Amino acid sequence: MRILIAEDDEALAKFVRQGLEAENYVVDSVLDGEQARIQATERDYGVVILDLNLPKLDGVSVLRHLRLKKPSLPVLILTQRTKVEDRVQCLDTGADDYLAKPFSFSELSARLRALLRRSHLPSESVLTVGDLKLDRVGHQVERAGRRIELTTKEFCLLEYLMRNAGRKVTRSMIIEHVWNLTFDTTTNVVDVYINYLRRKVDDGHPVKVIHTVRGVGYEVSHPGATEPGAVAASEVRG
Amino acid sequence: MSAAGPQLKSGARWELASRDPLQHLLHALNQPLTGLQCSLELATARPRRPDQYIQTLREGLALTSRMRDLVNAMREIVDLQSRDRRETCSCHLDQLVRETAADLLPVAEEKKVRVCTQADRPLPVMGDRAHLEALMFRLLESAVSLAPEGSDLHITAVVEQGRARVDVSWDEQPLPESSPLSRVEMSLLIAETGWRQAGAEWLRSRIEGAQTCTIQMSLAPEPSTCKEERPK
Repeated sequence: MRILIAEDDEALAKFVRQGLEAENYVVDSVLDGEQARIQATERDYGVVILDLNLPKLDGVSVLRHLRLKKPSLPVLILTQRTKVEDRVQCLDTGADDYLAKPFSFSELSARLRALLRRSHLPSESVLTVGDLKLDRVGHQVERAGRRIELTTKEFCLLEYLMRNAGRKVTRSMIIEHVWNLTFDTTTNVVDVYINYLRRKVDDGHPVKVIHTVRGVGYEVSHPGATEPGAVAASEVRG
Repeated sequence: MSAAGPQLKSGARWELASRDPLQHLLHALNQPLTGLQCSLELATARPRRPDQYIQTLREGLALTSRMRDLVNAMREIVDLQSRDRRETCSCHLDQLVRETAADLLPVAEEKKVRVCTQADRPLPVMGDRAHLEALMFRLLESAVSLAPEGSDLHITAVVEQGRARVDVSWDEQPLPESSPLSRVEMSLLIAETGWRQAGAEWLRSRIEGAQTCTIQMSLAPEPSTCKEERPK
């Protein structure tokens, strides 16, 4: 898998590049928006990491251009800004995800993995992972044929995890998508809700579907389930 | 007074932070930055054992994490201070209180903190609902974090003198004097900046070992709909 990094800070670009190469991605990097526009248009990339504040051509203009030329190319925005409006503007312009600096490499890596497989996200109304079923329309969950009662928040959390089945999601990603908050929380709210879910979903079943991924976050998976696009980073070398 | 000189009690320290949050956070940033600088200088000054390098890297990561928290807090405060106040909608503060408190109830239960919420009267205020929702989450989450295990957290939302008033009170956990601002306190500082910017009056008081944060906002004149939804 080939990734393009458009970042004008050479040191940061170098660190990100080294980290991604260690995860077996092939990485190209450019230092300005004009190069980013040309290279992303002419070459095939699995994902583009795009800084917003680029010289020669700003990141939003590059993004607009890419959306016209390559509408399905995943783009992850790096930015100094944290305003909700900026985030909304980027997502409205067509960014697939958004990460504010300063960030940790593990957060970037997890988001990239999720992004690379987003095109495989299930859109059907009933999500299934092994014997766990979630009906998004009927708002019902059952495991091994037995109905599970969930609160609204628990339902949203399980739906997010099941939509990303087979993929690791970080606590920040969960907070963003389930709680609609763009800041790091000060409590263990995600872990507490995961524990509630575990009690309802996994207790009494020999095979657990909710897994903790140390240092990253959580993952829903079932050994018997076929998870679309769930390939390890080592398998995606392009 | 200690031999090390006068030190601020947590209340006084909070007042300083509240008066000029950016300056306070900037000063706080100097500490981990200086620590990191010295640590790296020492590590490169002369050859060391591999375990010492590992130790330096671990300390460096911890200091970087602290710096990241401080930078994020500063950036959020700058963003909030420069935010346009959009009062296009009326939303119900009492509803925000109830929903957020319910959302955080499992976290409080885990800490054995009893949440007593009283928010029965409709409190329509003007503001951006999503923004106020995030600010309410910050405030109540900080209160849950700061409340000692097994204590009570009181949340009341009432009308007082024609204004909406929300009080959030918890037992004060004694903090070591001159301890650096924790992540939770930073979050509370951001909440304070956000509520003030949203047009609320913010008061933080300490009475008999209890901390109270009070938000007061003008009531919306009538239960209006969003401006965008009004017929043209």
